[in-house]
Amino acid sequence: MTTHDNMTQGKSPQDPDRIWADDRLEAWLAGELRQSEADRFEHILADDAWLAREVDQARAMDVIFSELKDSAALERCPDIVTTHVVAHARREWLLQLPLRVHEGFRRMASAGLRPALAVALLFVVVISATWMARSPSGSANLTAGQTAEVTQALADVKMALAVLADAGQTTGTAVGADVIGPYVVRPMARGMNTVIEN
Amino acid sequence: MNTLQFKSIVDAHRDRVYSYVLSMLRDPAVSADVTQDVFIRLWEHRSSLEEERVLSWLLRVARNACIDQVRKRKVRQPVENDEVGGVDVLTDQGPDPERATSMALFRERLREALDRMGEPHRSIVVLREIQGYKYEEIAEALTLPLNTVKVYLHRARKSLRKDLGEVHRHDYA
Repeated sequence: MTTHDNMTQGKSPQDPDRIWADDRLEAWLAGELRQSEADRFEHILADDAWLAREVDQARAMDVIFSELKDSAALERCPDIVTTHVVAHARREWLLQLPLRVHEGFRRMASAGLRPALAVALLFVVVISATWMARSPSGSANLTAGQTAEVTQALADVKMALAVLADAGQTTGTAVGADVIGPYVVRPMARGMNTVIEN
Repeated sequence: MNTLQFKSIVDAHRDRVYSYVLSMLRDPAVSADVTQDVFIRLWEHRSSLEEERVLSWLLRVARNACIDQVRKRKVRQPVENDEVGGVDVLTDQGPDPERATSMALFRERLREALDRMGEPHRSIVVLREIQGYKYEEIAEALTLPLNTVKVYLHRARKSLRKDLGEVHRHDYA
């Protein structure tokens, strides 16, 4: 005879009431039984020492779970995890930068903005050429503050060029092939040919 | 999602993910590695995730990673000291050493029974009873219907209760 058997107080382990109550013990403890079921459970519990022991066992489990919950709430993820994860994300982000720039150009081009982009690029080239041609005489009139601003601007331009360089050969090739070639070089060549022929 | 937004998400959820993984694996070093992998996967899947579902996604991925880890451990290593439980058997005996030892034994039996439990019952017990998640959150994380989660939890608890049946009853009042 086991301890369990000694505590049955005459009820068989196959007693339908006991089986019914044993199946609902957890729900009763969680307060999830309907009132009629809870009443029936408590009625059976009042007469069954074995069931009372099972309830004690379940409550003891809850005490341990509560302990574990308290200690789990104090667990802190080591900072090194965040450091590694964020470093990984930044590395990935930088590695994908050229692809994103390329993708951006490609989307602009496929969105019917090729002519506008070509005109903008042409405009930038013309303005830059004009500015460079005028800069030797203009720089003589600059104040010290303006010179510093120009130096800063040149540094910014260098930085921008460096970023563009990072965008990689792929981007340059794609822009050249998709935009500059068909919308700048070829129309200019056709125009020149027309001028020469006439 | 840029890297700053990503870092804020990591900061917001890392302790919950780590704590869950630690409850499942009971090994701080492996749990840190698994947590790291989970967040790296989050970064890789950032474009396809809604922000309000990030936690349930993290728990789902963490659970799968834990299952993989358990499978890798063909022979489960015995836990030599229960740092995870937070209560040391030898040092936290308080005014009643016998009762403290009994509770420690009971707790260890409970953890062993939990380790033997299959999925998804084990995850449900850990998420509900140790991590304190709501039924709805567990249902979303494990992609199970709400009522199924409740039924599985009650079955799992009953199974644990039966497993612990041979441990002597103690007064926990």
